[in-house]
Amino acid sequence: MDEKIVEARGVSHAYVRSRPTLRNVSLDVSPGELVAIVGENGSGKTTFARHLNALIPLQEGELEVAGLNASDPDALWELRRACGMVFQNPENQFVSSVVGEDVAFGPRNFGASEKDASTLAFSALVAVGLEGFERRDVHALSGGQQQRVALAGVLASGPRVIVLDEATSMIDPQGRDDLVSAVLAARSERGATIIWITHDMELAARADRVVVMRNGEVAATGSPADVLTDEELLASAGLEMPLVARAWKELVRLGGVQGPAPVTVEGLVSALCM
Amino acid sequence: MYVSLEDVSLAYEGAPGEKVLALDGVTLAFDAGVTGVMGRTGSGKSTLLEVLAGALRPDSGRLLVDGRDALHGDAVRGFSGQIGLVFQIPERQFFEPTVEREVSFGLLARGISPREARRRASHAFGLLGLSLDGLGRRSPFALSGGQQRRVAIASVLAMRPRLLLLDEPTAGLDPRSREACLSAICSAADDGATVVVASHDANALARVAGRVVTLEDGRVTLDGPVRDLLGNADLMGAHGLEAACAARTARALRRSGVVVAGSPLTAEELAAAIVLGRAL
Repeated sequence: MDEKIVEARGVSHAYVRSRPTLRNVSLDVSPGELVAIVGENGSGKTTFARHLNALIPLQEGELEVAGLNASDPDALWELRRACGMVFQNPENQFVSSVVGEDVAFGPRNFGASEKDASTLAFSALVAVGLEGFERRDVHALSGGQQQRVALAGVLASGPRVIVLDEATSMIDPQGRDDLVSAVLAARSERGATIIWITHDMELAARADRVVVMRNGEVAATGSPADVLTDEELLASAGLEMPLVARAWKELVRLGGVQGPAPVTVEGLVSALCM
Repeated sequence: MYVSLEDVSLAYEGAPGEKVLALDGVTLAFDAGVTGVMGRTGSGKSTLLEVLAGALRPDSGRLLVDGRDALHGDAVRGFSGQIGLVFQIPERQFFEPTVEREVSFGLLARGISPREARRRASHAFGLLGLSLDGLGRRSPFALSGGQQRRVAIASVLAMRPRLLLLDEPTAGLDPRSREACLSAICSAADDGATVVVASHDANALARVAGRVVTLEDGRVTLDGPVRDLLGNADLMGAHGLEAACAARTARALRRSGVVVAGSPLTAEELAAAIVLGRAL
């Protein structure tokens, strides 16, 4: 059997006992995979994501991340290092107001020497396209730059899994594109596994696999081509198909084309040129 | 409400001793209907809204409301009750223990009877797809992010502003809450309000706005019908901004040799533009 970097079995969670937020979630993720998790507010996406580095302790079920048992208190330290998170609001995760110090905090905290921590911070800043920002004030950066500093802070600790929770939803389009490029580079250059929670269906269309969450459960999981063209499924989860798929369905209705709906612009081009 | 800015400038103190021009000689007029304001972070969008709301006083220039000077004299007080500003992430400003008290606070402060306040709040909640009966007794802090945003917008709509200003109303919302906000914005405009929406979300503006204005370094760079701007990916791109997703897709198709007619703003329009392009 293939190695899995995330193995969740029957994970359930309730903040209030009578109203479970997460119900019996099982999900496997392969190393290097880019998985998008979509679902409306309150569907359980964030609660699930926060289990991955034990920000929320496991109540029920089994969870292994990078071979570490999430319910083992002795594995917590390693788990946090193996799985880094970037949140919606970067200001909530800065520990220093100076970019270089903030990014070096992670590796220093995990026991790297001053010198090694600085080197790791430098290379992480280069990786996110913020070379030369070491001495800048994080609060004087744009939202998109702040998100890349947050990502660099995560990269500097060398995580095998990076979880992004609505990390692009509060920044401008340029900031979003820069962050997406930096994440994709981290994946191709470092082989990191990416778990991306998003409302952006165009972004989800670029994933290897899409997981749809609904009422605390995994409603579906599959390739973007399968999941993001299932109008009924998405509507039941409060979601919409990507624009390209919606345009294709309209084209089919108008009678110009036939065949399965594409989900990316590249897919639309090749479908139209067939 | 007819609101106009004439040669308005406003500078902030950036680093000590350093002035940053947030608005630089802006002349704009807004009438009934929805106008979208786009611009990169720091371009002056939020400052523009705050000047229109009377919350920030410009260093120079004039603000006219229905043709009257709104920066000096008695007129100021008269207008303030007719203007509603929804700040960025407005749910951060909740302070009442229950949703009902949160939404009626402004109405009661204006001397409206509790009964009438409840009627208006209930109507505004309906516009945002929420039920006051269902949520009224809950703490606003215990709601989901999408519900919080809708409650915050409903609180402003319940005041029935003639000038409604919204700063990034859809940021961070899921599709259902986003659609509820957009349809509430349209219904405020249908009731005759002048609405100005500052947003990065080109698809949201394509859905609600009739006109779009772009800002760059505190100056107006583009001003025109929504289709001329958000339907034109090259023009928006030249200003470092994003057009509607349909327009960006149309551009990508054209670059790959597919003929696409016109300036589509939605998926349906894109499909029609492709069909038309094939017939050409």
